[in-house]
Amino acid sequence: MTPSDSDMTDLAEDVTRYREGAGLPSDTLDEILASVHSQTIDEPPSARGQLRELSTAKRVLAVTGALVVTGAVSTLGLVRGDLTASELGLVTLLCAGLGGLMLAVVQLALQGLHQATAQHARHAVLGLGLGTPLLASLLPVWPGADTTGSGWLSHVAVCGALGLISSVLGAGIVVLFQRSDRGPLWRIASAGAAGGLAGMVARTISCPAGDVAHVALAHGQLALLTAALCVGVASLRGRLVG
Amino acid sequence: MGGPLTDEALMERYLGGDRLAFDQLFHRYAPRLHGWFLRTTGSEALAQDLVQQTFLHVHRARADFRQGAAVRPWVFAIAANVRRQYFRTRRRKPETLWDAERHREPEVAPRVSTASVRAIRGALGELPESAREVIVLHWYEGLSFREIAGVVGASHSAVKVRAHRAYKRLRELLEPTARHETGERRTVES
Repeated sequence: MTPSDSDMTDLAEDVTRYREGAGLPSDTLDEILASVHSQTIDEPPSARGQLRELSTAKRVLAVTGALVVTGAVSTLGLVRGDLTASELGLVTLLCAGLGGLMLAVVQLALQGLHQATAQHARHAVLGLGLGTPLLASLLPVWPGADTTGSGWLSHVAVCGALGLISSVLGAGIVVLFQRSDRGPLWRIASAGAAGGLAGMVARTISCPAGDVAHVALAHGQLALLTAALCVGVASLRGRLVG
Repeated sequence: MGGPLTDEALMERYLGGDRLAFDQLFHRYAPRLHGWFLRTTGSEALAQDLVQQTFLHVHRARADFRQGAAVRPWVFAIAANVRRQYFRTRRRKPETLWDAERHREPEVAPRVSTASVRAIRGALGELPESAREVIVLHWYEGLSFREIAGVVGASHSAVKVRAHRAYKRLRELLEPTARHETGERRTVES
């Protein structure tokens, strides 16, 4: 069902007029072009500008590589001794799952403005990135381990601090590669969540703690914490859009 | 001797470092984008600023352009996101501005019925933003539904459904005007 013929005729004329009359005066057009030139082609890009101008695929690859190196360095010498024992399969599975999720969240965080992703897809990926670590942390993933004792709280504090450092570092790398300084909430939160997921992978590799409370407090909330931190900083700096 | 280069050929040259090709693409797209932004923001200065931002992003995202892909939907996807970002920043709904712009622009081409065009714009203003975006891109910008799907980030079928519902709603909204105009014409003829 379409509008009537007379409506369509009027509309066609309106469209023609719109297309013909929408043009800018040529001097204004030249002014805008000169301004675009001065900020792009005429201006040699800064080091960060060069990173921003890489294709999305290259940026995702570079960020993933950087996160792996960061994770490896941050866990160097801290790799849990029981990795070769019976839990190896479970740990590998958990790390692979978190790593895959991290890739999806990184992709979301580094998406350029030329891409249009449906809102529900954004929410799904971000929800998974933030929710899965929390959910995973509430499950007794290492039922055999027993590290509870008098130093429990200090262990949580140290583990949480180390995890947060890895996560913030990871989030910083993602932000560095983002094309725009300003962005909507979901994109800023994605950068934080990606960093948090990287931090959680590092913690899983280095911390043998098996009690649910420790994993929930010190590991599981990293993605949520870093996402909140990123959103807070962006909001304070006026870089949060919407 | 060939005709003017296609957008895709210009894009290829621009990706190869041809500055003039970028300028030509700018001259082809800037007026259209300006019209689109002006129509949805109601501000001349803002429309110019959004055109500038769009081309900054076009330049920054050029490495993401797939050789052989169509340029028009790609540029409009960037423009749509720039526009969306603007409305998010202002926490304003596009409907309000569309409506304001509609009342702000009384002049129309002499052959076009003022009341009818206003009714059409008014009817467009009544549509939800997601539906209006599809209709404006389809009617005014001449994009195909498949291209629009890429611009708005929805599936081809979802865009067609959105358009169908929008057409249906437009007809409902325009029916009283059409009846009124037909009545007027009959009175004049008699």
